[in-house]
Amino acid sequence: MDEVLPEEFDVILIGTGLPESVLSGALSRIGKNVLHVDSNEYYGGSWASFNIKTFDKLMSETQMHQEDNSNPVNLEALISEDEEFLLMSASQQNLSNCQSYCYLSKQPDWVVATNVVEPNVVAEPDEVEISDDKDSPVDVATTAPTMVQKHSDTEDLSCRDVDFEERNNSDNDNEKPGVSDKQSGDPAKEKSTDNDSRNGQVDAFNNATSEEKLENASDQSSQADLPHKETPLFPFYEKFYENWRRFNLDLSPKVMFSRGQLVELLIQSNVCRYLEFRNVTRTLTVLSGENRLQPVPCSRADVFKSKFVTVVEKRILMRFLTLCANFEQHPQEYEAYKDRPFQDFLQSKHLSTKVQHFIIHSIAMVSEQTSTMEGLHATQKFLKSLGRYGSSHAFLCPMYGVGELPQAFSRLSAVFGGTFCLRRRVIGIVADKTSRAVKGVIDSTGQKIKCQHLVLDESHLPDICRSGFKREVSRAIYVTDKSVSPSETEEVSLITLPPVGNFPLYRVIEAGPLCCLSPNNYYVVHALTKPSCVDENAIVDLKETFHSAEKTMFAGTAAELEIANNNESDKQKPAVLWAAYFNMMSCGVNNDSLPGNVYVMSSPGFELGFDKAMNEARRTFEIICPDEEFLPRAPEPEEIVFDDEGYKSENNGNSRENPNEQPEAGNGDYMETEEDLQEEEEPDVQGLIDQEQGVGDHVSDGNGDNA
Amino acid sequence: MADKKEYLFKVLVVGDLGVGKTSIIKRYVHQIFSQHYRATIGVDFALKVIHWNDDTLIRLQLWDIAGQERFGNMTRVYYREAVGAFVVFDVTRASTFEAVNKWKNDLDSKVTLPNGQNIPAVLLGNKCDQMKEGLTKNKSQMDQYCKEKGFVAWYETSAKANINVEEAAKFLVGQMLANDKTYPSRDLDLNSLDLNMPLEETKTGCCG
Ligand SMILES: Cc1cc2nc3c(=O)[nH]c(=O)nc-3n(C[C@H](O)[C@H](O)[C@H](O)COP(=O)(O)OP(=O)(O)OC[C@H]3O[C@@H](n4cnc5c(N)ncnc54)[C@H](O)[C@@H]3O)c2cc1C
Ligand SMILES: Nc1nc2c(ncn2[C@@H]2O[C@H](COP(=O)(O)OP(=O)(O)OP(=O)(O)O)[C@@H](O)[C@H]2O)c(=O)[nH]1
Ligand SMILES: [Mg+2]
Repeated sequence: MDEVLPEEFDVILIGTGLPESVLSGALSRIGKNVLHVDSNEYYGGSWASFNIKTFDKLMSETQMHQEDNSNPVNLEALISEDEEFLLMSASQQNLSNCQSYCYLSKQPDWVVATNVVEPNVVAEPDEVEISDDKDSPVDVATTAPTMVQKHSDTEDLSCRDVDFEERNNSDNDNEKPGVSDKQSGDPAKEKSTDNDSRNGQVDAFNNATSEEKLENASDQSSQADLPHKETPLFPFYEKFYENWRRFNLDLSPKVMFSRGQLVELLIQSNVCRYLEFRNVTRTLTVLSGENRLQPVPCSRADVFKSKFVTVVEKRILMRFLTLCANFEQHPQEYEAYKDRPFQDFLQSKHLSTKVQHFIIHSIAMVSEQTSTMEGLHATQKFLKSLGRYGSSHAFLCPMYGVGELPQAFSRLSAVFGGTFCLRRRVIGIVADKTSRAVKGVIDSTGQKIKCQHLVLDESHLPDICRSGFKREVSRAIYVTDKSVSPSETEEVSLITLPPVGNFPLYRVIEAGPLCCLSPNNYYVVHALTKPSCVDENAIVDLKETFHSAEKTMFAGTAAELEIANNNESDKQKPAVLWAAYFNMMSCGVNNDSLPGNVYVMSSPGFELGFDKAMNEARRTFEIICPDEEFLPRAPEPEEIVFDDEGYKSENNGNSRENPNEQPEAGNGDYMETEEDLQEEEEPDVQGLIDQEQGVGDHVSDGNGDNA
Repeated sequence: MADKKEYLFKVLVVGDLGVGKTSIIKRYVHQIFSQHYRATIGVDFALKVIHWNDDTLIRLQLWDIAGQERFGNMTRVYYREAVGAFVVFDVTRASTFEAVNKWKNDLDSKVTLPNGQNIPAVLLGNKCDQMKEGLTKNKSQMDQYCKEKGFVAWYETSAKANINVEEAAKFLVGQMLANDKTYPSRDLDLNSLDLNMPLEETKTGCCG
């Protein structure tokens, strides 16, 4: 889009991630003249969601934005004597080490022809490519796991399909048909000794016997004597990609605390009318020493019903949560532990190891080392959210993915007059030499656009304002054939896998068709962990990083399971049909070199919710417009009356009929039950015992906690 | 009538800058035309209630391109669940006609009916009051063009002189009604949460 833009705006925003979009909506809403540009052709930046084909493509692209086919801009003509020009980096590197795999076999000819055809006939291509053909975006060989795409960052070894070499290191030359190495002969290949030297280490993790067998089996298959299967266990590749548009895969999966700032803002601003939501319906975890996911009892009703905790544990847990809900009123309870680890405090309250685990990992979602104060606040935050939109639910997630959120705020901004321009790259910032204040930007078409304030997302910083890239979050996305913990109705799950041995903590979100993240019968599993090594140049094997999470949650990849006699695998667990791995990067901001009227919004990090992004947007808004209201309610179309002068809002959203009319019901399951703390409640105890013995079920419905 | 049927149709109105999208909507919904050019601020859509016949009531949401979302970069919110569209050009400006193809392709790539078909789109050559023989002078050529590009119909319109606006809308509504009858609309049993309705898990849509 090379259209000429107006020459001057109050505020220019670069990048359409969540904090920028919220800010853009807020500024337009109060009448600021806003230009919002993004060099991508999609909204959302690092917060975007993509269909599966686009995701494959994204993983395969060297850099997210490289088409710099624009004519060189004559800067001299644009910049005056008293101005300086800060060049924006051409590459953005929000993602690194990208790779994606499809583990499904291509439909062999015999399926169509019903005649037997040698399967290895299909296994011809030794290079995997993205094809533009809609029906088959990628060529794949039968059976062998396929690296769909490759991020060919020459500096980065880890994007190679090391998995294959490492797991089959007995024979390094044995390249499987269908597994590509586009980088043959590139620097990565030359350094392959680095990989080899890591093999021993890798195998140490890999000594699970079933894994090994699967790998061996897979080895044989690629030697092309796979017997025909009458009924394949998994859909064929073509079938899977048929529904490519119905996947919405998040770059930054997150959930919304029901009482978090995002939800409040969505209601307050009426932006929620653009979106649809679902509850996160359960919280799961794995207790140490076990290999099975189990539900974490969170609400009072859950605690009552839970079969995983004893009567005594229930009682102690219930009292403890009630204390946390209003901990400020009971300083004597935690005073002594204020600066000590949360775990010590939990121990002092006689919570069992299991219950401590639930609280630390699944309720407060902190670490053992977290201070007691921080732990109490985190627990309270969770408890406040519990029950607002469902008796035992504390979190919501947007349907169609997190990428809808920035788009909803962008729509608000556009409706209130914001100018949006995607596919428009800003090549640099023009600042005043003496005051160092930003005066405007120059885009890749050579247009100079003036502004009073400039908002950038982190990935758009001028080079001189950067303090260096680092890995922020390591990510894996899986598409599976069933839920990690199947149940009667479709669930949306938040899962914490605590650290075990050398493996880190993983945070996992699983959702599927209910949230419109995938077509029917598929699930999307997002796994996040903190990178073991943040250095952008260090070699990492992301498959290895997620190995332990994969072992806990999945039976194996479809390719592995198709080969193995299925009695080998845990039938309860899902198979991985498709997977992608990547690192999300952050680049530090060097604040000293940043002009005063430039505001930098951070990339999404490991945090579970959206409060950080919302705070950033709000704080920046308050600096730019100190006396204005942040996101007042936008009127519904029905509220707008029309006269000869044009559209006019009856009630410009500035006054709600009843400003206090906020959803209050279900306010924190544990919030209003102070008395529990003071006294033992005999009926409760009896209730617990009955419950345990399967007698009477007084708490079956929702908040019926005072049974 | 007890079994009066109600329909809600979301219609997108797209086209280049200044072709008269807002004027057409104003004319159709409010029977008003204003010479005065102004950007549309703060409104998502205009609502027109149509008493189609004795037992059919239609609520038509006309979604204008928001104020300045005019670089063709609308968000998903704009396209979601649309079941019809008007693509508008200005018969006095050839460039706006050339852009029609781009707008049509954009629609087809961003939204489909539940059955996978493209949403019905009607092409409007607006401001026909200004030029008796504008870009639409060759009727059969226009017919051919619409066939090629997949428009269900085209009209010469004038928001100013109130020409064909009603007719074009009527035609599109007819198409949308017919489509609606050939397949059931979206499942309503999987309703999402309404943030304004705490503790009620099955409410239609979000925030009404
Ligand atoms: C940027 C972008 C935004 C889009 N926004 C929408 C949209 O708001 N509404 C829409 O119907 N289609 C939207 N689409 C198109 C959508 O992704 C599918 O291409 C289209 O619905 C046809 O899908 P299908 O035939 O594969 O699935 P179908 O089986 O036809 O889809 C099933 C149902 O889900 C709806 N649906 C599918 N994807 C989406 C989606 N991403 N958002 C909302 N509903 C969806 C379909 O309309 C349909 O009612 C969008 C596409 C793009 C590229
Ligand atoms: N003569 C004549 N002028 C018209 C007609 N329709 C619109 N106009 C004029 O064309 C100008 C632009 O009309 P708008 O309705 O604002 O066009 P728009 O497509 O909504 O423009 P943007 O929202 O800016 O993209 C205004 O000055 C209108 O008065 C018409 O049928 N005839
Ligand atoms: Mg308009």
